[in-house]
Amino acid sequence: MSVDRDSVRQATALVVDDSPPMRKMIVFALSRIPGLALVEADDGVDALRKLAGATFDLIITDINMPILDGLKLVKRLRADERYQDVPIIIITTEGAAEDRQRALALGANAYITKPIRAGEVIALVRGILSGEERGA
Amino acid sequence: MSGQSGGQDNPRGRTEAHLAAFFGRGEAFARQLIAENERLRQEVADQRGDESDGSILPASVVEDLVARVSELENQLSGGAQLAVDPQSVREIEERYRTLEREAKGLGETIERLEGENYHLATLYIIIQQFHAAKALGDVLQTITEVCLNFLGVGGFSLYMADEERQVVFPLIREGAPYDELEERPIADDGPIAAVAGLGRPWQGGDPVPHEFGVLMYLPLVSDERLVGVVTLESYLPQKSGLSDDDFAVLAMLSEHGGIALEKVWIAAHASSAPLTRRALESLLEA
Repeated sequence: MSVDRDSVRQATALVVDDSPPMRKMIVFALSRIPGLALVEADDGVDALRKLAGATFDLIITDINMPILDGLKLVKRLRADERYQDVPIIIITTEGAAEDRQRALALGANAYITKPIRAGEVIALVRGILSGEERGA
Repeated sequence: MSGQSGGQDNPRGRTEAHLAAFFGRGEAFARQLIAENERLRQEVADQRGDESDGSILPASVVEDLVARVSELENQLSGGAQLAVDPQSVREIEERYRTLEREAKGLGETIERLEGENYHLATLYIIIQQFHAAKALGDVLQTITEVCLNFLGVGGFSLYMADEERQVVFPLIREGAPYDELEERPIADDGPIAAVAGLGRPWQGGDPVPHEFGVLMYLPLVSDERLVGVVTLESYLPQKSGLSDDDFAVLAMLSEHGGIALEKVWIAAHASSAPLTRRALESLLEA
């Protein structure tokens, strides 16, 4: 375990977004957190494939993606007891209140709209992984 | 003693004689102190008789001190205040406030630097995407992602230039019906002509051509060649305006989006021409 005050316990997060530059920017921002390993997935299907092969402490997903979108992904994960307690953060362009409510009702822990501010995402992830924040 | 000593007549001899006398007196004084110390020790031991453990302090003194420490500890645990110098307290408080201000300033500086770092990384990654594009679809995808994800512009259109007919025609639209769009002449006296007339990519500080329904006309330019125009039409609900960082992204989009579009256009038409030594060497000579 790192002694850095800003670090988290050793943890792994899955970043799911079909936009390569957006995915890279989320990974770039979160790579500032010592102790956090990051894995990328292109869409919901790729995310399920990667979830099957490893253990993740956090999932960050976009909503609008081909094949299996972010909301369907959240629904599938919450229906599977293996992932019922894994925190999920939605990062999306969908800024309407009803979109937010729907995502949270499906079981997402937090909802952030794009364009993102790196500091906001970093603080949220730190809070969730340290157990201080369960989102919204 | 060195054989070069010439006795007490020279300076060195006099110094050595003074030092010998000084240390002699010091040694005698030290012996007196040790003797006096021993005498006092013996006197204390004689007074305490068999209970003596060799300690100079009587047991009662030690017990008094322990009792006093215990009393002070009880006072502190009971919330009693230690008597302290008010001036010292004020100095400590002032120092604390200074450190707090400095820490806040450093925190703000770190936050600003992290924001700048993220902004520069954004520009780098977008440029990288444009230059890695191999087909028109890749460039259009990157333009869409820049507008939606990085600028928070939910409604926009991309017009491409038709150089033969001197018009721009709509190619993609996001956030509103595509069918509403029409071709527009490049050389009219409106905003399209204004951005085409720049003859270079748009830069921060340039005028922001706009009209009803369009927040901004952004030319996509490769060197001096107008390749296309992006019209920014509406923000996402969570976005209310463009920041300085957004204008830097727009300047980058104007230049590198234009280069990427021209590059994939050229690549599409050059694919039938194989790389040859003769052709490449003639390019080098040109």
